[in-house]
Amino acid sequence: MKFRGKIIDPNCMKQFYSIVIILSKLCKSVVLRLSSTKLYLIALNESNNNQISVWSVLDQQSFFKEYNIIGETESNEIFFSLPIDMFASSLSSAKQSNLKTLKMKLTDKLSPCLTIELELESQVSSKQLCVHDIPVSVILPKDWSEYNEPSIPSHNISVVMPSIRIVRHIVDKMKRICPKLIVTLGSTGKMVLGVSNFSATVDTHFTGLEIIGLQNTTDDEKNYSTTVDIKKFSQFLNCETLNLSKILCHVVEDLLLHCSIEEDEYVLHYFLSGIED
Amino acid sequence: MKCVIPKQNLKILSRALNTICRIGEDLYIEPNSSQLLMHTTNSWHTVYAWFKFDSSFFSSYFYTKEDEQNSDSSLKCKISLKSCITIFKSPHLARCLESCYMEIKSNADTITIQLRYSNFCVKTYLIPVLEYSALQVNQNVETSRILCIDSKVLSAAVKHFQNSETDISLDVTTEKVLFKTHSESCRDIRKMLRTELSLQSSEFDIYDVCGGTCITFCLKEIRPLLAFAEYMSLPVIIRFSSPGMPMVFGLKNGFIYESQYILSTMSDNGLSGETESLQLNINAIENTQSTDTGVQQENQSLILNRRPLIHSNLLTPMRVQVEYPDSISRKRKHSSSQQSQKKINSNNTNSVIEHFREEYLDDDVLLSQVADFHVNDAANQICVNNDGNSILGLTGHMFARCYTLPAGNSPKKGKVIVYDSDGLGSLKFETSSRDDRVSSKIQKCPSKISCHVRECAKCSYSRFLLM
Repeated sequence: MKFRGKIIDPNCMKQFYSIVIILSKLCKSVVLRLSSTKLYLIALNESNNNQISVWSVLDQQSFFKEYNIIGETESNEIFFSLPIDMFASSLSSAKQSNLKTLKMKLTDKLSPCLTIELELESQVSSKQLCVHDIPVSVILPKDWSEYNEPSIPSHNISVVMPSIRIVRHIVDKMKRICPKLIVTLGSTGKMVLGVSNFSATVDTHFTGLEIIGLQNTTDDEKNYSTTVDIKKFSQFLNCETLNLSKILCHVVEDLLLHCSIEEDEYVLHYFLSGIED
Repeated sequence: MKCVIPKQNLKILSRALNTICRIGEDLYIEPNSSQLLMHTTNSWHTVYAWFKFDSSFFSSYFYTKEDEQNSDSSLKCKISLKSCITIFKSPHLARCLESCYMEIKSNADTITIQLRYSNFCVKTYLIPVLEYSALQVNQNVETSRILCIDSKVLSAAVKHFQNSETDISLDVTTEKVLFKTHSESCRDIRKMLRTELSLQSSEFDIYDVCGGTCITFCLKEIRPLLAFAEYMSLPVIIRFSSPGMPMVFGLKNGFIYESQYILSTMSDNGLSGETESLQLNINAIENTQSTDTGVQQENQSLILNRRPLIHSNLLTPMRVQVEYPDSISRKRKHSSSQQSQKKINSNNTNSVIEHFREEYLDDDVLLSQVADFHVNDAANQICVNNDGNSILGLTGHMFARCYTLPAGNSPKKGKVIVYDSDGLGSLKFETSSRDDRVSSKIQKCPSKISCHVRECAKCSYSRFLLM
């Protein structure tokens, strides 16, 4: 079992770091699945029968300059879990402008480790080397099935999310009113965020959103809604690095709120299962 | 000792104090004829930090003959760092601040710090001296290895370590220096993030390590110093010898000011794993209460001994007074000529009282001159004198000074008036002449008074009158 990866492009480092930062806001530990072409970051929701809450796929070629993997099975894959906060803090040096290369590899020091080597350029010609060892626990092939790609039920409706800053602001305010948020997407390109308690019902309407997909294309206006935990939704919105991305929002009536970012280099899905009213 | 710190150096002083306040709670000040030394140590005596300001740091520095004649220790005093920090907090260091005047008198109970503003406003702080004692430290640290590095490089290097990291090891070889997570901490090393950073010897301005060694020290304590050095863009000099022996982090700006942190390092027997707690070298620092004995005391007992003393002294709060110039219009009832009488000064207390009476208490008769005494004890006391006069001695929690008056023969018995020094606010409450009623009334008061005083504490302190 061997893995080695090297990133040299500063933009790729920043993008990789920002993905890790998003994940570090959403979960505590993450499973890293490495295959010969792709790199998966998977987070499970422990409170909800280990359903997958975050599923992100990074295209190896667009991030890594060098990428070598030798798995132990035929599929040539490696699975291991690691604490995401350590991963994020060890990558935080990627913000520094004098970073030359970022290397990742699996090592065995005291325990299995994901070693991150940062080569920094210093003012004096000599180089600085910073090495972080993140303890990981390798997942055996028999448990791999838990981390299979989640089967996404067909969405009733998909729209492009309105400006995340505005949504974040509103959701943070709504958090004080009620722990449950009702997200409604209408076939006319409407998104309604609503909370209610005994004394008040608050709805915020966003209109004129671009519709990506609609299940039944009859002429009548139809609304699909799902109720989610407002804290988890706000956690997602509070990821600073999301600001620039185009976020899609999908709803499966009463079952699922699914947010996704789909870029050429990477895909990130966030699943929020519906809770009962 | 009197000195004036100019505007441009006030920021340095404020930074230095903010750096040092992360270490300990008390600040020891030791002036001598050419420099001012400020130092502190933490409660475990694992770190000792000092800042030394040369007389050229100040725009004027007077060390009077009287000071010279007195014994060495008479000016060495201990004050609370917290109270000092509040003065030099950055918001207070406004743009219009001109200079800072500081005076330490031999065996006086307070240190005077005056902030002078360009609009002729003067803010006077009286910081109570907790003790007249010196912190004595054996500074003869054996240092066979010396490293000197740009503070920017060093602070960028330690930024790679997590903020929660307390101890790191410094592993030096002839070619390079390795900073790494301390591996023998109580936490499970297999479950924590291990970081290792290597700096080539060429990064250092001075690199004299005579062979290699590996020492472990507390990174947390050193971070503030690095921030200070980075702000002042001064190189940091690290001197050390072997594990277990103290190491020194120093910085120096010419002759103007200089700072050193002496901190203990983990000794080798700590690595043997017999004890999980960190074995830290405390021999470097010996603190003696009196300068004469010089006896090295056991650390634990020392801390215990000091505690009650500190508590009783801390009850005396810092006092602040603000003098506004005539040019600043304020809604005052008094004419500007009368303002001068309102300066807080124990010498002209009587005139203040006189004036106060004229202004507000035309009908009231002051029964006695106002006595001025210091309250050291925490208890609220209402004493009854032999002649039936009750004396109000309110707690020293809130008030630096209380004024007592006998209230026996007054035609208007038992009227209590509290007013603050500039006469802007006052609080009156009636009490009966019967002593038991007096006490009951007064015991209710402190909460009221404290609210009142806290409001005006920004500009002044309060006094008591019992009429």
